[in-house]
Amino acid sequence: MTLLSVENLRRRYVSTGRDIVAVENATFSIAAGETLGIAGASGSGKSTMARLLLGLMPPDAGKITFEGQDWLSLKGKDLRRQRSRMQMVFQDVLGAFHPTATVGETIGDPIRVHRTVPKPQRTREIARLLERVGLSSDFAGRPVYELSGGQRQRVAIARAIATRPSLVVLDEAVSALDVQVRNRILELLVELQREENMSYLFISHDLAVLRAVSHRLAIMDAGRIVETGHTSDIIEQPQSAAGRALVAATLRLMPGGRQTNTIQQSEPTYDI
Amino acid sequence: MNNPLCRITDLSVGYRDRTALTGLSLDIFSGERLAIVGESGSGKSTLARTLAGLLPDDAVFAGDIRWSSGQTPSLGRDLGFVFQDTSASLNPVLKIGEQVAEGAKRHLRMTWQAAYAHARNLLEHVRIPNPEAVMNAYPHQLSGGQRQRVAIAAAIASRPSILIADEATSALDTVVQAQIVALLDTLVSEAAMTMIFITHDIALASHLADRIAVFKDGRLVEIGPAADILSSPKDEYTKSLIEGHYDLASTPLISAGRRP
Ligand SMILES: Nc1ncnc2c1ncn2[C@@H]1O[C@H](COP(=O)(O)OP(=O)(O)O)[C@@H](O)[C@H]1O
Ligand SMILES: Nc1ncnc2c1ncn2[C@@H]1O[C@H](COP(=O)(O)OP(=O)(O)O)[C@@H](O)[C@H]1O
Ligand SMILES: [Mg+2]
Ligand SMILES: [Mg+2]
Repeated sequence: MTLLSVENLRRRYVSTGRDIVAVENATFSIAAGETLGIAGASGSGKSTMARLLLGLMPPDAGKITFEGQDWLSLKGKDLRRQRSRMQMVFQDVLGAFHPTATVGETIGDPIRVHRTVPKPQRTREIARLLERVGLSSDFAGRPVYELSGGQRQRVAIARAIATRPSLVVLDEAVSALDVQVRNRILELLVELQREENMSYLFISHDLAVLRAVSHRLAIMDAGRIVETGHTSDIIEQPQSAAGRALVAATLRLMPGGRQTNTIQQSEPTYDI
Repeated sequence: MNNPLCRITDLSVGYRDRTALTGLSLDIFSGERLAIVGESGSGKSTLARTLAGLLPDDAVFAGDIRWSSGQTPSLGRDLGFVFQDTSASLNPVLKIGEQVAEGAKRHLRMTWQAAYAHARNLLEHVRIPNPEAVMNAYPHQLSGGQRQRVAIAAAIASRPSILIADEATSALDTVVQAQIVALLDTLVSEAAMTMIFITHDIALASHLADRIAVFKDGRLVEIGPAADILSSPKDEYTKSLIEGHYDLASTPLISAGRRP
């Protein structure tokens, strides 16, 4: 069943002197319970796509259908109710949260806004969510800035799943983490997806990370989606230039060291 | 092995409220590529800053660093430094040409005219397309990858014999990272520079390094030839770094590429 479908989405930025078409004619869909990975070089439009889906900015053109509703024309109460069904996890958690807020306040915020859990039960619900993401309930009273990067990302996930969304948009959510911490977070996300049947739109410039968690991939290049398909098909036989460049640039660990070096160097692009 | 270029003995460095390096002993050999690998906070940048003389004034320092030349290499002349964040390397209000020429003028005692010509050649050398135009551009007009190329050009402008790259590719996407790594590889080989390559990514180290040193919590846990560390790590932590690496051949966490 299609959960989200995006048709001909377009967004342009007008900034000093030049216009940038950040997303151009983007069309794709996500099925219920599915992870769609979006890969692309920096500047290819991935974060703009995330902001458009989340309603953080309007598109210039295009259509978004989410849970069968015309997402862009929803207003008032309907919009608020529907918003609780799509949540987000970004890279810079500290930037996204109030810095001195406690973990409990941070997680409780969407529950309060969307009134998904009656007041008397909120403390219990926050404890349940913390446990869900592998943190003990005493974390609720601690300020977010005291936490490690991995713990903060767990809090961000708890907050995202608090309203029982059907879709979570993750924009470079694990990119700033150390390898081991990153892997634990990826495992947690996969486990939560299996149990809650959520869909993910998983954005990363790192194809190896996307391959680990995505059922399908979309490759973005200069605002356009240049290729979509099953993850293994794209990794094995990328059809687009951008897809081939991403596959070629994904480093293997060379057990023999640099004598066996295979780094590929494509021509630099000129962009002044 | 021959005499080290630099011998570090029992080095400890602390900042006001914490210890960043503890009892570090390490030799650096002339012409080698030494990778320093470890998770964030393990003390990698502290070692880089110590070697480059960039520690803050209130840092506490104990131990011994002995250079074979008898004197500490001077940053910008004998030792080039490439940071992760180009805003630490490049002045936002100076034209690219001026900043790259500056080091050459000062340390190679060139006239401005000669330094400018040198800078232009350097930009070409780090494969900046259309170097003439970029000479007159400001950093913000370039992409992250091009800015890092310029920062590398500035770092090698005085023809230093030592290059320290501290997470020089970590802020870049994977495609640009591969390009910059290939560039560093070429530059270091051509000039037979000693390179200290700092990264949290052990796979990246495997592509560049002759030797790998693994740091954890401010301590050196293991050091050796890259092939030994990568194929038969002795330390549990090193093993976990290697096993934790994901590439396009790792087992996916979901059943591969199939619809749910
Ligand atoms: N707020 C903004 N104003 C102007 N240009 C922007 C803004 N945000 C992004 N851009 C530009 O839009 C393009 C796509 O950016 P972004 O969506 O952030 O890409 P990605 O997340 O893939 O790196 C880039 O050229 C970027 O410089
Ligand atoms: N200027 C500083 N003042 C105080 N603490 C610092 C400073 N720089 C680094 N540290 C601390 O020292 C430790 C080592 O940091 P660093 O050398 O930057 O590690 P790495 O480069 O491996 O991430 C960390 O705990 C870090 O928080
Ligand atoms: Mg982005
Ligand atoms: Mg560092």
